Amino acid sequence: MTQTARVLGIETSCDETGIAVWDSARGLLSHKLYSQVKTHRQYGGVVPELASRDHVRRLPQLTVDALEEAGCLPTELDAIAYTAGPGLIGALMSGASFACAMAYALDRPALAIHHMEAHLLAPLMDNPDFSPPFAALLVSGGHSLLMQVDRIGQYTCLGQSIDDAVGEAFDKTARILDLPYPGGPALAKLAERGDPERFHFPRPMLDREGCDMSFSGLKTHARRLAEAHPEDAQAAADIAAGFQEAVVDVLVAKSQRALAQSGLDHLVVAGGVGANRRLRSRLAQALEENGQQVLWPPPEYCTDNGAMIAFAGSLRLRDPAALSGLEIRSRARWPLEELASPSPLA
Amino acid sequence: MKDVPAVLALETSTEVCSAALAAGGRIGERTLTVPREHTRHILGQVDELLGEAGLAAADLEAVAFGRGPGTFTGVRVATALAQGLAVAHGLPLLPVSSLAALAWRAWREHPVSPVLAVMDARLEEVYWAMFEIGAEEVSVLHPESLSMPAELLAQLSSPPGGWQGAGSGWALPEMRAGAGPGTMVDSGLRPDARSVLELALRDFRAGRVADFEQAQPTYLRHPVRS
Repeated sequence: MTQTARVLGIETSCDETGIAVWDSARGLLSHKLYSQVKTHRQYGGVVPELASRDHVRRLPQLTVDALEEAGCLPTELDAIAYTAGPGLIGALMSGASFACAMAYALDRPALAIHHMEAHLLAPLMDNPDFSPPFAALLVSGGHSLLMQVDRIGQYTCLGQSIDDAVGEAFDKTARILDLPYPGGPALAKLAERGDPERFHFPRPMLDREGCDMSFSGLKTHARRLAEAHPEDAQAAADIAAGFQEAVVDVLVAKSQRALAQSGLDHLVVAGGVGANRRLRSRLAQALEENGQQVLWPPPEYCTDNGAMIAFAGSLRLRDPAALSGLEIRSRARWPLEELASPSPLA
Repeated sequence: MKDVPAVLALETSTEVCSAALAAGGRIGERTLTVPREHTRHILGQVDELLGEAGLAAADLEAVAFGRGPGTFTGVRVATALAQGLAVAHGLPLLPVSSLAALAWRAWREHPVSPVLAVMDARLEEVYWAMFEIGAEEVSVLHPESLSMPAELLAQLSSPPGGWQGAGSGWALPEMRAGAGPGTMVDSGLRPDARSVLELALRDFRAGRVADFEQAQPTYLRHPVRS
């Protein structure tokens, strides 16, 4: 791309309001995030209606702040990119309405961005020399996917969880262990004090071919152990450690299998669980032993954020398939494989 | 109406999707009944209105919106759209009660006051408020509330003569029975953007504009029942 472009990114697919400005020549100019963790904590999980309400409360001021930090007037933007799916429909619709109205008022394109594609491409923000093909492990509260990325927009699913998403299994197991919401990071912290060998956890689906995964059985196993060892702080830490180790073992093995199956030697890891330190160190070690390379976005771009949406928007700037026109787009379900590569410039 | 400022209004709190534009001494409007499909139509309506008036969004002086109560998603669509337009050009926002817009619309069609505006809120409840309306003024006789029909009707035990009822809440059998004979009731009436616009223009002229904190939806109902 010879021409520079400045794109505002708006992310509202779940419980984080993320706004950022990406400049194709200068990189990230600003990045604002409002996390709703406090709103949902008392309910032990995300309440979709409350998430939507919070987005509408935060969007305008957060956008003004992001533009100010970027030193950019709204009229200096070249496009507005927004998460059109997949995600919570009410939350998506709030951000999409806001973004499309802003784009309409500025007479700029509104770009409907796929949330998981933005996660997939996030590591490219900091590594401009890195490019497809690569394999990708997407692990979050809503998804567990192994993808083959042939080029931007060309994705093949190599495997996925047949039940709970990894992050979901982390959160549910954390709740079994009475850890505060959000449970995933709390469980990982507790696991640091535990012995992963004390309790035996199964390694689901490792004996089966292919890259599909399953995590709900590990959660059930953790519940049985927790019930057998009530009021026992060390047992809780050991359960957390055993659970995490089993999850990491499965993710490492299935990632290696995905690389072998696709003949690729680079793995990109994205999504909230990508911030898990045990997963990071074990994956790095396992892949490096095979001469393969693993790429991570910085932890703040593993979780949901506006920067990745703005960046993905800059890659689909002139893509007719992403252009919203006057129709505000939002889709709760949207398989990655339905995407196509951005059309070449006319 | 020569001094009418260029103000856009949006109303999507019910199944009605509606936009209205005041510009150059005229009011244009677009209204469709499209349950759950507001996001497919509303920007097209805005685009048509601005095109007709020969204006661009940058020419607007303020953006008004029906802030509810109504369907949660609907009031958020209008709010988020208004916010997006406002942020793009630094415009002031004019939130208007969707119940007040409903009452104002009822009064425009039949100049009988007060107006008891009642919307079906599902779960056997209604959103409602009562307004005294005159050519120059809309005043609140009973504030916006969420009630069971029986609770509402109990507060009207001796209804003042000559009032009228408007809105989807009057289609509920309990409400219909409570209206009593001889009371004018239009259960088919919905708030529209023209009504929002006319009420908003009074606020705009009086300098009553809202910041982002104030320009928020009114839901009345908390989604988590305790």
